[in-house]
Amino acid sequence: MTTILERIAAGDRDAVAACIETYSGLVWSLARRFLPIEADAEEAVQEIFMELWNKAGSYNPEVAGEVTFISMLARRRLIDRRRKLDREPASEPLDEMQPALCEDGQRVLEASAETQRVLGAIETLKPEQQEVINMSSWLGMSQGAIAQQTGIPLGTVKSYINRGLLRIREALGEPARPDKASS
Amino acid sequence: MNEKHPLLQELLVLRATEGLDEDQARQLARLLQDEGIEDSLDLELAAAAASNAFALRSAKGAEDAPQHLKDQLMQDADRFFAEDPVDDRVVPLRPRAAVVEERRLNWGWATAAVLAMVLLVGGIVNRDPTMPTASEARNALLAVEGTVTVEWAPPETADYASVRGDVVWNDERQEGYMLLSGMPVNDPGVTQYQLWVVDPARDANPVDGGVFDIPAGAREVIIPIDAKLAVRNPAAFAITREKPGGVVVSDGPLLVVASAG
Repeated sequence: MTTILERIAAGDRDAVAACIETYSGLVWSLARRFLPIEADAEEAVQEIFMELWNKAGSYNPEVAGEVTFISMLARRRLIDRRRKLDREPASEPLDEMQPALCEDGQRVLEASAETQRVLGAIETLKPEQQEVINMSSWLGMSQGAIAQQTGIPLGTVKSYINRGLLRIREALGEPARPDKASS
Repeated sequence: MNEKHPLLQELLVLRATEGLDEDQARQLARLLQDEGIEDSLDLELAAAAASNAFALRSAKGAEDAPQHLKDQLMQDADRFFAEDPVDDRVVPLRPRAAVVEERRLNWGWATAAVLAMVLLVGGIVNRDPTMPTASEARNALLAVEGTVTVEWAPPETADYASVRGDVVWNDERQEGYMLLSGMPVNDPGVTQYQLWVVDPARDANPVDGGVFDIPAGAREVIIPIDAKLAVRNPAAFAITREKPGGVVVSDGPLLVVASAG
């Protein structure tokens, strides 16, 4: 099964529209989590897709699912942009968190077998560790901010994130089933 | 993974989750080199996968990407995949015989702080067709540790208000690229753009960086910076518009500026 990025790399122009239609929601949701100002988020999304066109040929479906690869490129760009702004995302209490994932983003993640597999791996971790990894990865909080908000010692926060990412990496390395979104 | 190298592992985790500052990035590059460990995307992919999983578990119902943004993405893609991509049309800055000189500027508009900077001689090379395009080279540099990206500040001059882009620079490699979109076209017979790079750690005076043109239809250009003098820590990049061939002493104004500070 050929992924959208592989089709783009092969010069299939129809795949470009499919890529935007499939992944713009997820990238937009990520951008809005990292960048509270809408204009900043829009500019970042444009940059991310330009990078995506450039790097489509470097995507290897044997290493990770397409949705994971695209999220990685997006996060890398957003982290860089946020560091320039010297700003952390709002760290409101988790139970007061505003909706952050749009329907298009939800659709592509629900269709991703890899994301479901990773979710399964995360659920084997203890709740406190899950919360720390959530705050670090999806909410984009720094280790120091997580320690401050949760009261968990910084060293434990670091350890939770490190071990959690290693566990997730193992889950990524498990036999892959193609993501539905990559058809 | 790198259980035997806790500092290395800590830096890799930091890079994957919240990014590294320049010192940390250099430290990571040095550790990877010293330990003979090949860099990998493993932890960045893991952090992205975790982000996706938690996003799926999060509160949903946020608004989708606005339609005008999707339309813009399609337009960007059309330009990017055009058979004659504009971003490589303006690659060569015209080399100047005087490029080996340190040409002093005396910007009347400059503050004392600005005057305490030096401009890099940005010698510009013609592209060998067997070499990567400017776009490919820029992307390759972006992946190198220690590379910094400095965005152009929103220009104050009305004609340049829509100019966007950035400068990508790597001290260790002495390699860099300017990305410019929305830069007004110039008539080379009347005026030319002139590039300057500011490095206060190097010298107290600005140095000429060469001239370049923006032809009609070039909405986005990538211009390689071929530094003839070592740049330790460029503080700013600036563009002025001058008479054909450029000037030795510029009165400005600075049309587009990217400040690392």
